Amino acid sequence: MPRTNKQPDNDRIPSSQVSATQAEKAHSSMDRGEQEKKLHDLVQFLLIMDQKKLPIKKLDINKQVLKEHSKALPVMMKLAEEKLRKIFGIELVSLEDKQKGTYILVNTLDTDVDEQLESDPNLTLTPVDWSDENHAKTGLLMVVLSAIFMNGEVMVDSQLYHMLRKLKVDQDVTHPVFGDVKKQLTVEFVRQGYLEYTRQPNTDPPVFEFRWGFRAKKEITKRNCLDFVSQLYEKNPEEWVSQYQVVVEEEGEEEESSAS
Amino acid sequence: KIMTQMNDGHRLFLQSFMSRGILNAKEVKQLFKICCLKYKIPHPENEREAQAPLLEFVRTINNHIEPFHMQIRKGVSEDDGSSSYGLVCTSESTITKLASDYTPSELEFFKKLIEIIVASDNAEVGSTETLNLVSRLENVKKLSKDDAEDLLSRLETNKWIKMTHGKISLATRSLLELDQYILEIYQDDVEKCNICKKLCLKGQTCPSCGTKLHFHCASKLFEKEENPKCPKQGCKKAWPYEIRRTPRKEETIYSRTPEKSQKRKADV
Repeated sequence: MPRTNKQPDNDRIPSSQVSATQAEKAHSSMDRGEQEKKLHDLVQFLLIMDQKKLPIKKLDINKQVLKEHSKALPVMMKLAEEKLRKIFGIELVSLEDKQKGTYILVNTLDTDVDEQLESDPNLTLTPVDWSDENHAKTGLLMVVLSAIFMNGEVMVDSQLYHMLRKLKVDQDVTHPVFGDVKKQLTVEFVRQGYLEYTRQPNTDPPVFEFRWGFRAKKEITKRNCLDFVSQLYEKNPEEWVSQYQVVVEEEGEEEESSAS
Repeated sequence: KIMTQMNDGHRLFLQSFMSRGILNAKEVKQLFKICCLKYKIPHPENEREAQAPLLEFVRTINNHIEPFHMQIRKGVSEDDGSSSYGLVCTSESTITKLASDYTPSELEFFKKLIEIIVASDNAEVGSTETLNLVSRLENVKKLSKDDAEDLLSRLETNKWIKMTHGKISLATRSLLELDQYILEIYQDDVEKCNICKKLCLKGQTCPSCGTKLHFHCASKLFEKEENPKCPKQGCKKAWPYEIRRTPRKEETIYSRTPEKSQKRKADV
């Protein structure tokens, strides 16, 4: 928003465009007790909303938590991010592009304890408990994401269904575990942010494309996928030259951003 | 006040509680060991020696999550006196923890279930009576009996209720999370245990003065008594029930008498 000499009435500026210093001013105008209370309400709110696995909108944050202190959002989100990371081991991610103005929570803690369980026969507890249904859905998702990745990061729907049919997962048949497979892929996984489902322009009958969604990009690395597929085919990851290239590029980007 | 910082071991422990909701004493000890092993935190081999570090570990977590109205608290089963540890929401707002996992209709159903359990003789109700609750739901989307059955199954899986021999009762997790709610809403219809002063839904009631005791509290109180008597001052009539003399198989973190453990409210 271009700066003019006369700054329009502050109340009319949507909070998403509040500058950093305005946010800081709004934050420091709250007394200490209020700052803390709002921060704690915010963290709780983010944790609860995230359970629905839908991106959390700034609008809702302002409406339900910050209210009259909406201008302080940028400062509060930074503080909330720190709390989530330090106490819960959870990362607050601000989404870009189509989902700009929303947030998701991503678990950065490695909850895999196979090594520890193998080391001692008396240990049988898996810290994070998944239902069988969740396990199965994750398996399906992994297969789909890997297929899309190996295919060059996009896959046409007919191709994907064809592949799944070979694995006895048929979109026209109610699956004993996944139920309505098409709905699981085109609605559920899309809603949760794991897949992107877009229509190819100018196609009739309509042709759709599947790509990785924003949550998949955050939670799963391309390397995970390539390793997964490599194990399946008992090959070395490097044997898939172009996919391996993508993996290396992704890791190069990560190193850059963590170094900066 | 200097707080011990949290490390990944604490975080994994906390995430486990966020995922499971409640763990029994054995599971908690395992979880502690697993977290220590994974994140290279020194952990005594001997189970007895691990108790103090475990308490300290939980205390650290509780210090950090307290501002978010969360606490890891100890609960005792009303059926067998065994201990469990649950992650509870400590703000007054009633059933918020459940709010994200269940629809408004389902929450309404659960509230009605609590109502009939409180009104029942032994804090347990039959499945038919329970399923009929669907007709009593007001101002929410209707539930079919099939929906209700599915709901009951999920409530059991998530450890809010117990279903045994066709009887449905509240599990330890509900008592931990909802004791304040129940005491508030059903003040005149529920009792507290005379010994531990906590909500007592299942227990033994003195036929003379109405004093109520948990089975396990009565067990501990009358452990060495030949002729158990009602503990209430001004009553002291003979206690007419069979005392469950359960041997102490599992080590509980408190190996003290119930009276002393009352005072330690701040501890886990």
